[in-house]
Amino acid sequence: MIAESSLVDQLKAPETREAAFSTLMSTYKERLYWHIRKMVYSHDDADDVLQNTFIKVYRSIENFKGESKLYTWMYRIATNEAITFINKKARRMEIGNEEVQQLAVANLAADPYFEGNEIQLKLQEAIAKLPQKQQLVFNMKYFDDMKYDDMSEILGTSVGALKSSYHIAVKKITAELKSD
Amino acid sequence: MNLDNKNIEPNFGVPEGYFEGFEAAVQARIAEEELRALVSTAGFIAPDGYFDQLEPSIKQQLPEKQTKVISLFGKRTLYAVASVAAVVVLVVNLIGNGNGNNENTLALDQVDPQLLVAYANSDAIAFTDAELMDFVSEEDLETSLFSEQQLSDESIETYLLENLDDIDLITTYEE
Repeated sequence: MIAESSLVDQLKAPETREAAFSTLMSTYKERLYWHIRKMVYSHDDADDVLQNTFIKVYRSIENFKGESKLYTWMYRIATNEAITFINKKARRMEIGNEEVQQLAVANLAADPYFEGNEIQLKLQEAIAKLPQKQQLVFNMKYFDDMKYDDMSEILGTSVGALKSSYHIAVKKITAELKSD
Repeated sequence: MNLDNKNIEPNFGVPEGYFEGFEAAVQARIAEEELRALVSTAGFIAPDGYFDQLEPSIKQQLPEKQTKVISLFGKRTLYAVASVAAVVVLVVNLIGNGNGNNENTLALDQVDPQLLVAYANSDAIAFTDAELMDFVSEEDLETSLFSEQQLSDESIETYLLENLDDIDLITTYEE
């Protein structure tokens, strides 16, 4: 795997940008897709946001100063694009962001690209009830096993706060799944 | 070996607050494992072949390389030229319409200067490029093409905030 600093140099140089961008997409497309998918739920929406993310990365790569890891920078772009997407959908439908998510979760059972069982559906319903940032923390730690330091760079929150948020999220979701 | 000596200094350090947070960390791990025993995966799947077709689809949307087009005329130069040309045309017409004997002649000093400028800046005047070239010196061209003016980040930001309606367009991905 190509060293990150070398990849960044190639992305910034016009003569190597295209090839380097292909490498970038190959390396990160699946990770970013699943991160986005857990935020927007539907495959079609995740596809839109993922493509927007890579296009933004391509256009913004010259602004990348190398002070954080390339992948945490890209994750931050993906997260912002997903949130922007949800906000636009909420404005278009004239409802709140939380309602957009509730609707998306309600449609999961009929979604051909969701093969979860009853408990997995309950899990998504429980996650959707958390505050937005806590949802991100939970998904990134529980499913992606992301390091807290990387999460801190992406979300702009301290490691201590992230650990607390995650622990609270786990307890809430467990209680929700065990209820009924 | 003398095992009675208990004053052995540890050679390893630990992060600050490690022991204070240890109990909470263990409890958090236990809670997480309890949840994982119930459910550990999200249940989402992607369509077959989706990731294989993704890259060509994105590449189609990337901006094409475009040759930068530099206009021969900056706006300021164009307005200046149009203003000068309008004044010249008016003067020529005023002189050409008689040597002051025509009662319908409008004397230049009777025209409001602001009206002249407004007329020059309006769409009523249309000059061909060739006509405009007569009024543009080489010095004017060099000034418009190679401006020394540098815009500060603050000026750009202020302009964008005042002139863009969609806040999403202002998003930049700097660190």
